[in-house]
Amino acid sequence: MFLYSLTLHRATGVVCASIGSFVGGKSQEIVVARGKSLDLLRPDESGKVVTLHSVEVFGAIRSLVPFRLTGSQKDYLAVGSDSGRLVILEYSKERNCFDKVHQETFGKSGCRRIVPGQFLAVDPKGRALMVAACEKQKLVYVLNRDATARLTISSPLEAHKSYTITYSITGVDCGFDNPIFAAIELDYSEADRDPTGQAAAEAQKHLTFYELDLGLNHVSRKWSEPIDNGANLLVSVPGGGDGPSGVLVCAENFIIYRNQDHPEVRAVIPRRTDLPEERGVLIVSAATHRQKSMFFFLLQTEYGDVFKVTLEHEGDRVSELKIKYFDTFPVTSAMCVLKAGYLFAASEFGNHALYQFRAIGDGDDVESSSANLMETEEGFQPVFFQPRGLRNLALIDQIESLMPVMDMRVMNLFDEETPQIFTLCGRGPRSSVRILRPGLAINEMAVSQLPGAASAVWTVKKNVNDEFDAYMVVSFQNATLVLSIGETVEEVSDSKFLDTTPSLAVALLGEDSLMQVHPNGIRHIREDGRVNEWRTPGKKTIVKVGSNQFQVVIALSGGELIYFDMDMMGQLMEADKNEMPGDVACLAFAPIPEGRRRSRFLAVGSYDNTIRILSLDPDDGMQVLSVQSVSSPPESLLFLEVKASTGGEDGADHPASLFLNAGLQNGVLFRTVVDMVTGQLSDTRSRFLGLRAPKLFSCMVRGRQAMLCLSSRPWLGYIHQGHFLLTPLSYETLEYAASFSSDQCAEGIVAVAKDQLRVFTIERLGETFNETAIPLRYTPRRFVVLPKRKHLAIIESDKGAFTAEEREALRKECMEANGVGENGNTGAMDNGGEDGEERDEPMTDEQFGYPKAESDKWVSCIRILDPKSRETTCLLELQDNEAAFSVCTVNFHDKDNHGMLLAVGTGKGLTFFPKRTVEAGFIHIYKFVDEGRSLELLHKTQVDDVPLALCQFQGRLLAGIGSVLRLYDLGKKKLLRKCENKLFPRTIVSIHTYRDRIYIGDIQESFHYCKYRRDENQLYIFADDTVPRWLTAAHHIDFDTMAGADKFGNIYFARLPQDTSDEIEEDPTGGRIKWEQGKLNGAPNKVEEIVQFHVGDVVSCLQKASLIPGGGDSIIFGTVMGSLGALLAFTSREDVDFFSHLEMHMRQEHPPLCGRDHMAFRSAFFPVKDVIDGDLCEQFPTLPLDMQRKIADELDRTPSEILKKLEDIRNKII
Amino acid sequence: MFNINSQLEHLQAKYAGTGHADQNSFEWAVNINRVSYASYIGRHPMLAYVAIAENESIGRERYNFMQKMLLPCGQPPERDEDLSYLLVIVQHALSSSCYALCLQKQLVSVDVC
Repeated sequence: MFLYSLTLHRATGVVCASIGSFVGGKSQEIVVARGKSLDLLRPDESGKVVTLHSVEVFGAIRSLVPFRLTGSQKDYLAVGSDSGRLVILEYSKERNCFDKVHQETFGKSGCRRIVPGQFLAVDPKGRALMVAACEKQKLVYVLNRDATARLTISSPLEAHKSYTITYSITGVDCGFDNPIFAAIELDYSEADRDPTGQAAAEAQKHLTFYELDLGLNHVSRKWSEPIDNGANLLVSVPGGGDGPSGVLVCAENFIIYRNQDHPEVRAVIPRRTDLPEERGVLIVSAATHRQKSMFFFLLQTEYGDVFKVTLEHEGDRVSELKIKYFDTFPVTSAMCVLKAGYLFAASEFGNHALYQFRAIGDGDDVESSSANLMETEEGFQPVFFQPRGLRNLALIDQIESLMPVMDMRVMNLFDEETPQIFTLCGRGPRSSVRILRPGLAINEMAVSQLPGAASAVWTVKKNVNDEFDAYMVVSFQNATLVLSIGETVEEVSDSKFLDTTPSLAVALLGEDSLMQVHPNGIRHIREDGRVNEWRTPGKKTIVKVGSNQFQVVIALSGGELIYFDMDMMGQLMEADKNEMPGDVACLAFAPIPEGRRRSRFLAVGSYDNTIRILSLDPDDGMQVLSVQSVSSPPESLLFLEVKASTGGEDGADHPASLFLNAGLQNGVLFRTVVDMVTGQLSDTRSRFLGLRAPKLFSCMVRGRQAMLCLSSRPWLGYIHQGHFLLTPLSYETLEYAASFSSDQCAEGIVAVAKDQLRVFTIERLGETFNETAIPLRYTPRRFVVLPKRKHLAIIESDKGAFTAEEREALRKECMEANGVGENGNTGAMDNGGEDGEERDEPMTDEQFGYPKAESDKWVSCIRILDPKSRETTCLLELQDNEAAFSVCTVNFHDKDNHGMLLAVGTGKGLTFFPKRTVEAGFIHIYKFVDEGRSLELLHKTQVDDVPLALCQFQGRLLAGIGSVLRLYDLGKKKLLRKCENKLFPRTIVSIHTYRDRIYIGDIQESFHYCKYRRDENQLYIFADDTVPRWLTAAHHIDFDTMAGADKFGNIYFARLPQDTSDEIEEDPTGGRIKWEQGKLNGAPNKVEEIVQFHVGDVVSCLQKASLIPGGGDSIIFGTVMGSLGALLAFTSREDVDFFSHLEMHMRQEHPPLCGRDHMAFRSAFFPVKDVIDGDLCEQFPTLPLDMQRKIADELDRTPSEILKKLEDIRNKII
Repeated sequence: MFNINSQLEHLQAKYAGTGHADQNSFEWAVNINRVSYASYIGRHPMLAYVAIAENESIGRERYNFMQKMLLPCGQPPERDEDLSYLLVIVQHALSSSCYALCLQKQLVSVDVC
């Protein structure tokens, strides 16, 4: 089995983010590492975050730091990754990509203890760079520029210290003196040798300054001082003329200013009043804002509270450190302050946000200051504060993030054309069910009722130079309705359009005249109001029309074509005639070449399954240039011109080309390349779009021509970052459409569907899925679908949180404590915003998180959700510190009176530290009442460990309880044990069944294949895996095969060899005799791992499903970082050969950006086996043209054939 | 003079975690754990995974792992003693289904030469 791996939805979580001016000039961009990919973002004028560029790097990015050489206008980006290399990137505006400027190898690849890459720091003046590992190694590179102003990098200078753990490093701002790097270090050498534990207890963190002597080219430890043992993060303080220099040391509960020859200045981080005493407060992310006259720091705690830290200083003496509560928003992994007054908050989990500063928290009411630090005998006196709504920031944009995907199911619950993907995302109060549909999201702007069922709609401008459309013309069965577009859209009667007949086409002709084509003639309305009418000869009627600005062609019934041309006077003159062999099905003009007045080609589709290209050259007399036969009569034709591009904002280089698109009656979209000189057709591609013949319309998307195809669902064909994408729109079936441009909406589309007129715009181009979110209460763990009612049963659990009642009580208490202010606040919520300065937004759990409880407290709930109405029909909060971990539906075979039941596995009082303990486990059995909308507890059965896996099996319930697999039957008061097997190595986390086989996933020991013998009532293991696998997801593929994912980010398939499988099935004892013998301390048979692939992200769910109607199945997976991917099995050997060769050439010619070897990355834990990396292959179009040609030559193909192959295989998946 | 021992010592000093003939199991376990923690810190999805299980922030988990690098296996054994002690290897096992972080204590009896 060979698989093609493709990322369908890139990771949305953020590892680290940084701000800089990478494009150059005044603008600022945010560079974001999402694990395996690197994105460049920028907020546009309206405050929407736009992705400029996104690239897959095939490696784990761990740190990013931008730097600038003095006097330069542009920032470079240094990347620390798992490649054992330091990579410096420069963004090229022209080609819209990152260029690798330097790549310096310093160690082995992988995330290792002593190989640098975890931390990066740069001298604020851009003269040197330090890259450090978690332990021991630190390397310093000197940055400079050569005579041609290019960046140069020195060989590394070592600043190693053995037996030392590094917590954080930063570059100290010391103007143009020798560069200094600060590091938090902890020496463990004593602790490792002292058996009494005294040395470990006394181990002391140090703040160490490393000075790079630029003259001697040497790094020395300049200064090392003990610091608070809770120190975890360093923030550089502006120096030189701008500030006192030195560093802020963020420690648990404290922020400390330190510098050489300066006493420490310490302040306490304020605590939330409801925080349990044993918990500290840790700073997890930091941002610095500096202006000419001032600077401040924004530091965020692990609970989401952001503090503004300011330093009172005179020269380089700091007299006071002030901490003022700023605002609270979800915990971030990185924050960036933009000069334009925005704050980009890259959330650890869930949606990212862009905030605008409304204030910068001025005012003297600081919560904590070094001046009033109180030291008592028990330590420093804590300072408390009460969080409040956003006061200094205002949310202006959200970037959706699926991180983390906890569970996923692909299903067509809504009976739509394509299945939906139901994902459980997020954590705590920000968790949600997200329903993903392949396709672009649309924004519906207006829907209005029409007097009857409309057949077509057009929009026209009055003058070619107008910006907006003037009329909207709707054609019915026997009438035409004209609407004028202005502030409002209303019917007009003075437009001179004929309204008593249906229309076939309405268009702008020449500069400023309008044309209406109806079955009996052409009506030409001149700008001054004169109307010229051309009537059809005899009894013939017009059936089809094609037109552009100067040319019109009509097809009469019977197959006669009449071609009109506009003369210099603006008169429409009959220019030529042609007789087609039969009735004409559709007509289209090629676009007018630049600098010319007339189009050169006319495409004619006929009912005899052909498309002809006719020449419109006056000398040629509508001669047929080429004929293309197609599988079914064409319904609609459209030429799409791709202008020559040399990159820029929109990606790769490509020459100008012309495509002819045809929508065929069998629902296929047929695309072929038209030679711009000869009119010859070549390179055809086709794709099935839907059950109806696609009608094609031209529209504008981001200022470029795009194609709208209306089949049984609408599709949009457009160019995004150099690729032509054909993506469905998440909208209903439309009849006819036209582009629409008005004051309110520059690039809209107007469409008719039955008797409704709809205006909409298309959003978030380039995304594969659009999502609808339904909020949940706690971190979702798992869900099952209740097939009959199409409801979801979701279990949610959170550790260390209060139950709903306790939270409510706490809130009340807190309100009382705050007294009037808070009450007044809630009272005035409705008319809020008038005196916005004083009024805070209401506190939501999404923004603040749940208050922290002791770590052994759990909250959990079971929810029945109707995804269609988005309504929760039942929500059961579990009591007594129980938390739900597994769920399944079960039909007990001889208890038919109950029908389908819901089994939920829970654990009571689960703790992880210092040892995993649990008070008890339970299996709850619920009955559906109220037509499946609600649950009623039947009974619960106590078991000795947490049941982490439940599954129905032959009318009974299989439960994995710790290392025991047990079969239960339903009793009156509890479940009854029927059979068990205790021979599993650790903990059972997944159970799948098929016929009499049971496939068990162990938390640490991969799959075990079991059999149940009914007559002997025995469960036994007959095969297992040889490789220890820490399973995170499992899915049953076929009788002998399981797909699994381990926590190190690998996906693998385990298969029982065919002969072994047959042997077991034929053996009357079912291999039981042999089982009793065993092999290698395990089962007698071993499964083989037939597929290995490193995804580079923890895969949390796997499913075999098809995302397209009528398509083959692929394995869809979701990951913790919020990405979705697919693995498609190849169907022909030829394709395997082609793609493996393409992959090989891509590896050679286009090594990954961050220096990790592609093959090594995909084989990070196990050698990659039989999987071809589609993400790498899909980078083919981004290569320079000559490189593309070179690879294509090696493969005996043309670049366009390769592109076609890539497109085809993607279309098989989505 | 060429000396294989001094070369080995040099290697051991240069690459922390390289084993040697006289290494006892405690040292071995300490190395394994430090390597594991460094790997968890470096791989963000893994940190996120643990953070979900423990309902803590990713930043806190990173800090916890770094703190644990100091004394990953508890106190070292007494030197020059007959070492038939029990060694505790802390392993982080994360269950797929529930993200319950299971800290399992595996008992390994060791003979040290």
